[in-house]
Amino acid sequence: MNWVLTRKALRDYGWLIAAAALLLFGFVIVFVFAATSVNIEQRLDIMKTPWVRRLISSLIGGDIIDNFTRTGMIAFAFAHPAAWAMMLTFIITTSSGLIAGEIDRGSFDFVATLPISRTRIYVTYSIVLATACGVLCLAIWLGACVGLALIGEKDADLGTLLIVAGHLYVTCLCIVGLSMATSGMCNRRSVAIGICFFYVFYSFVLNVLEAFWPAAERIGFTGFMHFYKPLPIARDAAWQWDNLGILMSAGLVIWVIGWLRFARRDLPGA
Amino acid sequence: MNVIEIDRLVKTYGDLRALDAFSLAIPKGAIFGFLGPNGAGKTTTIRILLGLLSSSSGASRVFGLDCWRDRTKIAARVGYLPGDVRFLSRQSGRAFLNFCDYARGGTSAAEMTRLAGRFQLDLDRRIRDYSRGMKQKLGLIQALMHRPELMILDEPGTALDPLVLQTLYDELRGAAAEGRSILFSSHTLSEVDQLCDCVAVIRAGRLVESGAMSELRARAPRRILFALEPGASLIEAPHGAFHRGANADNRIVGTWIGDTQTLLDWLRAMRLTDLEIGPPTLEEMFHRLYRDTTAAQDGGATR
Repeated sequence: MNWVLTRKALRDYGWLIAAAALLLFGFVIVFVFAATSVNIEQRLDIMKTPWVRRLISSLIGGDIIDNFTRTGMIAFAFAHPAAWAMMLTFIITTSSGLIAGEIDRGSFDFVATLPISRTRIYVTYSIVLATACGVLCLAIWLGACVGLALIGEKDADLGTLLIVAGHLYVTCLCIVGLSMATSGMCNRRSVAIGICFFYVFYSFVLNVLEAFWPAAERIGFTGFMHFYKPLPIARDAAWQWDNLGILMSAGLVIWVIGWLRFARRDLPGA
Repeated sequence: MNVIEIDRLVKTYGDLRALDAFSLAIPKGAIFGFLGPNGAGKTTTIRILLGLLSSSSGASRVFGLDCWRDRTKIAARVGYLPGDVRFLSRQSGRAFLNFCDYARGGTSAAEMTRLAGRFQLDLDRRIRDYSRGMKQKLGLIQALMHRPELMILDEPGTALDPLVLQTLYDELRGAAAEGRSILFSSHTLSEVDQLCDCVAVIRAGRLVESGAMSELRARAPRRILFALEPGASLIEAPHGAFHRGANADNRIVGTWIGDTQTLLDWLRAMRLTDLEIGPPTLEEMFHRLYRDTTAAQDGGATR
């Protein structure tokens, strides 16, 4: 960990962390209002539409009709495509900018010729990004807390939602591992962004396909979404250690590969 | 003692040999000019010395340390100016320099202020509002402010006006007088001629000329112009030292590559009505080397 690089990363991307946290916080408050503004029968009618039911099941990892609770409904905010879009855009934009973006622009020469080892650079930026993801997950949870407080809802279990936020955080760490690795290995920011978005898109498509096409289940494990199921977490109020272990291990392996490659690679001029 | 030692360094990019058994030694306290045409391998050499690129084979050492393995230790003692300076443009010049200073231990604030005054650079403006020359000054301050033992400057004179250039030369001469070493690459021969103690010329990844400036000047060609008396004939110069150019108004023009005494003996042997001998010019020497490079590149040799 290097404090000078930490300050630099925060100076360059602090505004983006703050903007993403505020957006997510606001989004979840709006989501809580929207989810509680129509009555239960109306909501169940919409969700009973077969393709809607399957689509939602694929996103939250379980059948919402069978597990219809206030906590289950709010847990959907932790897997909502809009929330994912904000989180992933933040992670991929930031990580690609920290290394690949600076190599691409030519400004990385100044960082690479400072008396800071490449391992320190990689570790410091990874910690900054991992911490920022923690802030974003906390913003989602706080948004749920504030939203529920504003509508006077007391049924939802905030402790359980914190466990869901913890799972979301570990899933984000898996993506941080991938995005830092691609950033450390690529010379072009666009390539690093492209690889990450391709994998994220692949995971989402595969996850949805799993709900409609049983054959997709065989390769479902290749997408990170396969291991993030907020509804069962909210239903059982328990940590899914197996899924967490897989996400952490996969993220760590990719991150280590990225670190080894970054520490040994040539850094071309702009 | 040598601050930089390069021994049979090879760098390949696929089939392309950017450096081909390149060797060089730079003594402590020297201002060393590194010349070569575009694509000759100057920047590749510099990036290997800084540990930004690995070598395919051969050895490169700075302060006796391996450039690849010990790059972080070397970085603490080196100041570097890239050939094409690019910054994150959102920040001010001062914020950028403070970042570099803190990363090196935060001891350069006074020197930073002094250099900003010397180069007349407003550090409180955003880098995006800087002109090309101002960005170059900022890069130079960053490379010099921690008073490094070795400065590696890739074309430092780019975009600088003559007054600032003179300030830079003064700073570099002052650093060399303190026993600090400078390696700088340049395309501008006058810059090297004014400033350097030693020079190396790289061509197609190979060292083609190296030595003290005084030695090179002694070997450099002189431009000669003379007129023979009517009926007198031109005697062939010994060892082919005279390279005849185009005649002008019955005068013979050419260049002499060889020692001065032989030149005087040769001229004395002819009956002349007019004579002009110019000072030795490195320019002609380097142009010849560069022309050879172009021919080599046209032949599809190496980078």
